[in-house]
Amino acid sequence: MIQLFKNIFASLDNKINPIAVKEMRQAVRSRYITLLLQLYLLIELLMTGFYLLTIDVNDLASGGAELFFPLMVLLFIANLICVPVYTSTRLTKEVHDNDAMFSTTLTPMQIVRGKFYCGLLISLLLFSAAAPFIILTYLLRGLDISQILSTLYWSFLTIQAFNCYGIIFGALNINKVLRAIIACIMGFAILGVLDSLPYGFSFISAVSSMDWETFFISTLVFLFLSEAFITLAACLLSPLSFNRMTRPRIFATVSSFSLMIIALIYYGFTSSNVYLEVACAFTFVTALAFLGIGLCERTTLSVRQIQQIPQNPILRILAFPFFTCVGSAVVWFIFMFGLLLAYDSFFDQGIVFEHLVDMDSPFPFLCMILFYITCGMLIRIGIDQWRRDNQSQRLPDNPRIIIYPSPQKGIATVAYTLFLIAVPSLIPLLFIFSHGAEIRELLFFFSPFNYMDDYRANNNAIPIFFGAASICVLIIYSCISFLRYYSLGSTNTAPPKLNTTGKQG
Amino acid sequence: MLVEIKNLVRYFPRTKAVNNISFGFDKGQIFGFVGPNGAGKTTTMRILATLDQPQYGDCFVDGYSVTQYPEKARKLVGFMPDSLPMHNDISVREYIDFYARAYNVQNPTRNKIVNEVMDFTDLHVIADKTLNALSKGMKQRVSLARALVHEPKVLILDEPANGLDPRARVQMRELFKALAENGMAILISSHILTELGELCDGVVFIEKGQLLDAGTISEISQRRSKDSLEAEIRLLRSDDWEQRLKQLSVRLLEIPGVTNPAVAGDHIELTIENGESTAAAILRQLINDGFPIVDFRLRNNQLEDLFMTITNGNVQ
Repeated sequence: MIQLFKNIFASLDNKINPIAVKEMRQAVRSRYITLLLQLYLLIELLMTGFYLLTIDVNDLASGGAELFFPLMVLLFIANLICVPVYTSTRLTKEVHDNDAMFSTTLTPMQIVRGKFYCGLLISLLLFSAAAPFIILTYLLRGLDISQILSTLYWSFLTIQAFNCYGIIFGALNINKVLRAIIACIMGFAILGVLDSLPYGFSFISAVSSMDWETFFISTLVFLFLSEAFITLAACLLSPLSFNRMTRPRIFATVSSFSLMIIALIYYGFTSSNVYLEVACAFTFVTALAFLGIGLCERTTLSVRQIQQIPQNPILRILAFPFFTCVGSAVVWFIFMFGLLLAYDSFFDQGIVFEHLVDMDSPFPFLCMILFYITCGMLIRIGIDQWRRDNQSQRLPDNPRIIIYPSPQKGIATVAYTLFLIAVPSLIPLLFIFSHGAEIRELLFFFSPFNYMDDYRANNNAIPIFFGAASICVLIIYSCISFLRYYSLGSTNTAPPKLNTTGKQG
Repeated sequence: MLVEIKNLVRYFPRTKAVNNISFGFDKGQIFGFVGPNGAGKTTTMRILATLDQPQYGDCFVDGYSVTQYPEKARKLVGFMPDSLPMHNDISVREYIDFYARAYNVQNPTRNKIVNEVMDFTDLHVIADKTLNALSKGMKQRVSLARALVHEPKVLILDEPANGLDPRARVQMRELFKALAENGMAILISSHILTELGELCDGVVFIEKGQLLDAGTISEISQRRSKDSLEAEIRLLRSDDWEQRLKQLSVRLLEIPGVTNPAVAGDHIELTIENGESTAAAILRQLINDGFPIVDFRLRNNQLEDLFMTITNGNVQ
């Protein structure tokens, strides 16, 4: 019997993520974690003590609620800041130092999941430290158990989504300050998106009754979002020769499909379009985000990728949107966006345009977004080409061999992301400070947000022209990429010394 | 060849760290990787350990490309970097156990292997100490244990003797010899050429990213020394020992194939032309002449001499 238990434990032990084991061992000895817990407990104690000392006896009926929300805000903020910062800082150090861990057979996904479990453990520690105080708030009355549980639940899910989000930035090997700035900007944006969910993390409003359908779909969105962050972080840690974006794109496609089908089923039963909105929002945001990330990928295929191109012509065509290169990212985005529009028009709800981007005249807005995405793509390809033209060298003892510069993935990503996010957002700000009426007009004209309402609904010719030109550029570029990809797949260009397993012949 | 490096190129913005180098070595061989600081040794080793990417060329470990199939190459390679990360929150045993887990060594084998590796590297005494509490020598041992934990076919050691005391160096040298005898291919970078000379079957000379020469020590010696050998002769100590030593020096001048015989302390140093056959003839002649020879030693060009010969004006 003892041997049986030993075998079971050994088998369980073998299945535990190695990074998680190491991180947990380190976390329990970490001075940072100890200090964080002590500080957190001290603040909770002070808050509770202050409240109990100043409480009005007449308000005792709702006393628990008054104390509960400040405590929850503290718990939420402490977790939201400390957990992603801790996990991302540790991963950053390892990535920056090129830790020997990266020379082991650990997969990028194992590393990322290990870091996630570490963050999960820390947030569980903070939640358990908060538990006695929360029980006290329940005893003080003014709250029912479902309010407390749902608040804790949504907070926990949000924190875990941000835990995963932090890991992405930990895996990004770029300047610390730039990374912090981008992480904060995008973090607030994601917080806004999460808050717009049917329940989101809006614990301030205290959910009094649980709607199980909403609970289910919101949970699903949180889980999909967290998993999307995790697959992206794993993608960043993968070697350059890998087909890195395949997994994130497959995940984004499957999760979007799943949400659409669930929303469809619910719509069939209740005729409520609230979940259609959720599914469309998820697909829209994911497709845009993955397009931005995909455009930062390589413009040519690696030897390994070429070897992975299916030989079957139909499979080869179907596989193209999931390959890791700029052309594939564009085709995948077009496919996802087409799917979204088809889904939306099927219900005739106008969700994408009216609800999500809240506008009457959607085409100019989308045209301008498309224009900026295309500009970003061209900038990215231009940077690559400029570096290849200006920084490549011929090998001194064999001038036929050209040495191309290593891809500066991080800097290109930052340049591109900043362009996509900052330019359209900053133009309206410039508009505020500009004096000349013509300049103001011109600047305002270039901002996509200008077209979100009907302010300029009658002056849409040029944005639509930009959009059409962008579509032409994207389609031409995608076609060229596809033809190159297809020909590489049909003529076996794999090095003769490598067979399909990679073993030298 | 178990390990092959082909036309490897790695440029950094202002440095040509590795510039089209190619060499290989096989199982059971210990190869020294010799070059001054900044020669490109660490960069090459990091590429071989899949921690960096070349801009051109490739490395193959048992036929697997480290750039295209790093996950396959990693199973076969153990890498010992020149420094160990500082952790104040993980013990030696936990650290090695983590690497065993990371290489997917499953229990109950894992505990056994961790213990064996700790025995082999003599780490049991410090098993519960945290990493930042260790001396440099102990850290090197931990680093070696970490590299060995998945029983790799190839071991890449970046300055393993750096910071070690003489006793630890001797012990580590014996460890490497034992590993090579078990069929492991080992690549060691070091500045301490005398040590490498005693340990290595072959050597790779690199400077400013360029390969100067590579091969077994005798191959390089033959290529570089044009068949001339350095030799030392010692005589039996007796009352007329010094006089006999001078006589020997004069006699050597008369023998064809001997150049520059000179008394150096208690022995005579000489250069023998035309390789080992001439050396054998000289020894036979001297014994026939009645010289009480107790030591006749050929100094096949030592690594230091080879290094000085090879680097002399080769690379600007």
